[in-house]
Amino acid sequence: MNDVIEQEVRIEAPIERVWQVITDPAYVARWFGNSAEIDLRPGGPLRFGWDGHGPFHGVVERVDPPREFAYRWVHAAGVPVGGQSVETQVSFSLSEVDGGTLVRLVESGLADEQHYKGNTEGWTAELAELVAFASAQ
Amino acid sequence: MSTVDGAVFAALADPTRRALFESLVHGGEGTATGLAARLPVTRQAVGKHLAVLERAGLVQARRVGREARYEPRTAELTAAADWLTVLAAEWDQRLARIKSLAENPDA
Repeated sequence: MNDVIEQEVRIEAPIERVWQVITDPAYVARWFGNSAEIDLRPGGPLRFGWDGHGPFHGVVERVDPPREFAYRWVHAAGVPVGGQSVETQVSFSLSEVDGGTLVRLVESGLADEQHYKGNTEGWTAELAELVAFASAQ
Repeated sequence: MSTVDGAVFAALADPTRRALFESLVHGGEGTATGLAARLPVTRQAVGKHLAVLERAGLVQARRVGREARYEPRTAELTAAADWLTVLAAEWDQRLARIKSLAENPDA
């Protein structure tokens, strides 16, 4: 069990085009939820909506067109950032490769020290062992 | 879209509570006094940590005589692990949609 999700995808399109799809709310609503509002500047609020749920709140953390977009969001409907629910950081890093674009996605922070005010280093590895042990019972 | 109660992550992000929970998972059950004897923590601190674990659904208290016995509950932990697997799968789908939207401007 790992609390960091890391994925990469290679896209056959110019980096500016990929940036638009990842940050323009009209596009975001087509790959993340059903509606999206994004104030694209550090500290800017964002809102995602899923039919029958939401809104899910977040805040933009880094914007460096067309290379980096990072935000923090709350995994519970209607809960503001900084509340008591699970929050994660999502970052997209874009780079140009051989005429296309490589997108690296990282979602992290489930064990965020700041959020939970505890020393979290390495605890997910211990959890993995516990889950395995518990499953074998 | 999947969600999970953050209480499990919050409860286990603390190393002392993790040690308590592990001790219970491996030992089956225990009392605050017994756990305090095994770990470098006071009985009072153990009681507070057990209360947090109980609120997160990770232990269940059962009164036996004058003292409460705590049993580990692993269902919440398993659900949290499953949730991470689901989250990763959701990103697979999202990145595939981003790729499709970027590569097919008219789609």
